[in-house]
Amino acid sequence: MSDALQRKTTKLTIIAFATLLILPVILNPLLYSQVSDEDGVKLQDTLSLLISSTLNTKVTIEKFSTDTSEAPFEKGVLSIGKSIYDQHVVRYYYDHEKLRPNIGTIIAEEIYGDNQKISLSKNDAHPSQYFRGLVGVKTTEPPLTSPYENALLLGLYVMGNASEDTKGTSIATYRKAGDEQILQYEHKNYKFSYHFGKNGDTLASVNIQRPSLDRKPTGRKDRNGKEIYSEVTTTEVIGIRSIRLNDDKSRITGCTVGIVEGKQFTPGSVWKIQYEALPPDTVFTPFKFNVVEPPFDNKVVIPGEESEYQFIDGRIVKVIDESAVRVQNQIREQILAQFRGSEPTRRTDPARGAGQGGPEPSSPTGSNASNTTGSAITPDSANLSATSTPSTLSTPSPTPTPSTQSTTSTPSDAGTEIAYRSYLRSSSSRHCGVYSAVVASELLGKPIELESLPMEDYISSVHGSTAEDVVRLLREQGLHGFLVTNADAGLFQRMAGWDAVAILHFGASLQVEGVAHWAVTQGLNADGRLTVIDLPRDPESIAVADLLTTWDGTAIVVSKHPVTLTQRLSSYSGLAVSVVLVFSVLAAGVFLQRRLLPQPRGIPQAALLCLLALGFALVWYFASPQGFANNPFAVNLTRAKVITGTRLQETPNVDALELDDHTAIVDARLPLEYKLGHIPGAVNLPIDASIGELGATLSALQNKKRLYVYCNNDRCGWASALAAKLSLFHPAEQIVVYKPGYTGYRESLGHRLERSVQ
Amino acid sequence: MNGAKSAFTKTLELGIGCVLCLSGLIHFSNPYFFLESVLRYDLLPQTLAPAIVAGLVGLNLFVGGSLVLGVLRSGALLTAALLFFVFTVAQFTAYWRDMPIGCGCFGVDESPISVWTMLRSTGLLAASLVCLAWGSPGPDNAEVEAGRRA
Repeated sequence: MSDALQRKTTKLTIIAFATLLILPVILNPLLYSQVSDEDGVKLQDTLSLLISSTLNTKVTIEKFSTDTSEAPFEKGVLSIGKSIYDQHVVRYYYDHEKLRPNIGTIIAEEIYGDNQKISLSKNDAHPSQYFRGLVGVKTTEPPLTSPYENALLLGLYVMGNASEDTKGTSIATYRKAGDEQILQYEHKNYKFSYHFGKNGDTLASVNIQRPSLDRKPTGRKDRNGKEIYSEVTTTEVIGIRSIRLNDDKSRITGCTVGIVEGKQFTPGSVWKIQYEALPPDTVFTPFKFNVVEPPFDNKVVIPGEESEYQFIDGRIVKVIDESAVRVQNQIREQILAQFRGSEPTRRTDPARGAGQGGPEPSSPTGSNASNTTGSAITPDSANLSATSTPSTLSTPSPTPTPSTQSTTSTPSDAGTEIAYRSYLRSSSSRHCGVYSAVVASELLGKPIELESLPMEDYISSVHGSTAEDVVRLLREQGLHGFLVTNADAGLFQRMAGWDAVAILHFGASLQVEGVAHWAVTQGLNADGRLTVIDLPRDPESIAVADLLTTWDGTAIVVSKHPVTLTQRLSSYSGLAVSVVLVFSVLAAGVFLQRRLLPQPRGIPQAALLCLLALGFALVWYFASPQGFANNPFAVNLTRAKVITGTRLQETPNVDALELDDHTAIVDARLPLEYKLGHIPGAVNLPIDASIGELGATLSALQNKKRLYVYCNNDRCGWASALAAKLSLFHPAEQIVVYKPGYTGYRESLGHRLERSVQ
Repeated sequence: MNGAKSAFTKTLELGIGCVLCLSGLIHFSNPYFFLESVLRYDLLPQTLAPAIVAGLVGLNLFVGGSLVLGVLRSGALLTAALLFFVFTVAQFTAYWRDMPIGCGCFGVDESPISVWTMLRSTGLLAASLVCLAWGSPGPDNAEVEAGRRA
């Protein structure tokens, strides 16, 4: 290169560099007027505080998104969502345009399955007492239908909070245990547990657990070798024997409250609860409460106890955390099923055609592992097994036959199993790290007892356990875990000889952006696939390439034995092999260049490099087990994570469903919504479907010539979003979005019934 | 002065090579996440993206490897400059369109495209050009220089 040319190139370089340096600085104020993820975390905290103070209760933000194209939220709306009842969604809308100048504009909206809604804004003068109660209640059961029960449930909840600042109150959980209904929540250092149902001579009881100043040694030591003490709690049991209604039962005028000791109920005072019907156009809970709380003059104190007591069948009995026991049992059942050779849910790759697998038949009760076990489980989990598994949840029927399934489920269908799964699904977002550690411990034959585990100690992030939390948990339980980042799929092969399992960290799931998650795998199976255990789903066998679409390369390898340096280093041997390979090809390239192409500089060298890279890429693309050519399903999965705006056929016609053998209907709603009622013959492919669930459903649908996709109603966006993703796996012209949704379908069914009656 | 300049450019070359190698290895360990990153830019046809991603990973590795080993350096620098130019333009367009996406430069756990990521990419482009313009003859050129003198 001549000196003049060199000077010119240098000048041009400096000018280009300066321009590129200055341009962003000039453009930044112009471009940075929108909300970006950078300040998302701060904004989330602000919103959380703001909503908490506005609604006067603590709201946990489960989802925070600035992605305006994300279903079901409309463009231009910043949204956060909180599921109250599992089949309902509460959405807090934020006006995107007004976000910066007026951060205080909140519109909260509750939308229910039947297109009913309640709206509330910050400046609304509407009394929000009942709304506050609703925000506080999180139930795994359908909402109570009787106004009387609702009044009791919400009234008691409001009573518990009416006189005190509600900051520090946890979201309450509600569940059924036999005939008894239990509502629990925490307020500051108090645990409230309301039990409904006739127990002895009381209608309901309230257990209030509060900490005392006493401490008890647990016999365990912390990381620093210090003794761990447990808090000693004090339990007060208050009973409600009667609730008085006025003549037309639209007004509760009071109830008898007393002390419960053993089976005895002693009336102490009367709490006055008044509630009135709101205007008839107010939908859902047509009541507001006015609570007058008496002083707690008479109390039953059970000192010196550290466990929770409940009032069951007229007796005070000591109980352990039921949910923890259930989770533990489910983990054991799933793992036992693995060792007994029960086939996990297996995906058939539709892109590879039916010839290489085809739709797999699902058993009438599905593939839930719990069906294969039974002897070692508790009555609770036995009940769980017996009612488990609507087959369409995880392994949809390969040929969904129209009109053969009922549109509404029986109470047993929507009973314990769904409640359990819903509980786990909702709670696993934070507890997945702990659950995965427990699963890993069970797989290695050194089980961690979940019921005695202080789970919150191992959840240091608002989103759940960090890698350090999980490693610490394993260490404190006598297991060895080491963290690997940026690992490749070769890790699973190398694990085979280590007697170890891996807890994998997943990035965003298929449709829910920003969700990080932990799940467990034992390494490669004999068939070269991976079995992933991700509670509460059944174990799934998926291809390695499919896993790569969501696994971010972070893994905790768990072993009973100390991990050697060789093992640690060999975690990255795949990358080392890649480096050696690249350098070898380069050396060969340089050798060839010097022999055949004696032009030393510039474009010919670049061309040679490009040729070498292209050759390497082609070999990987076509010959590698993880290559794109061999994994069209994984490539489509990746594209499905990105796709947003495919426009497909839509039909607003409620009678458009033409059911025949070549047609399939896909329900895009959540599993519980589906179980509570769906269009006959519909297959459920929920918005948070796993790779295995998606693959199984697609296998079942691959021979269909027309797919109808629906969600709740014409305003929900899940159907369109799912249809867009399905268009990557199924011909787009065969997919129709059924806009009326389940609500429209049900209404039309009602109209038809009315007409036929007339 | 020439010695200092030569040492400077060689250091820069090594740095660029290491960056490209690191990026290439991370992408090679999970090309599906890189494919996702590329798709999120919404610049390439969906059907072509997998092939281009495979090629980009290969180029990253080979260009990075060349610079680290000090072979085919002028070709490698030219290709590196081209790569960084493409990356920078892609980031600018995403930033311009207000797309809250990660740059896809070094794996999955990344913050969205920002002034910093664009500066980083621009800096690497500039460094490649500087090395190309100022670089001393590499080992493969020495032979030719010697041949010319003879």
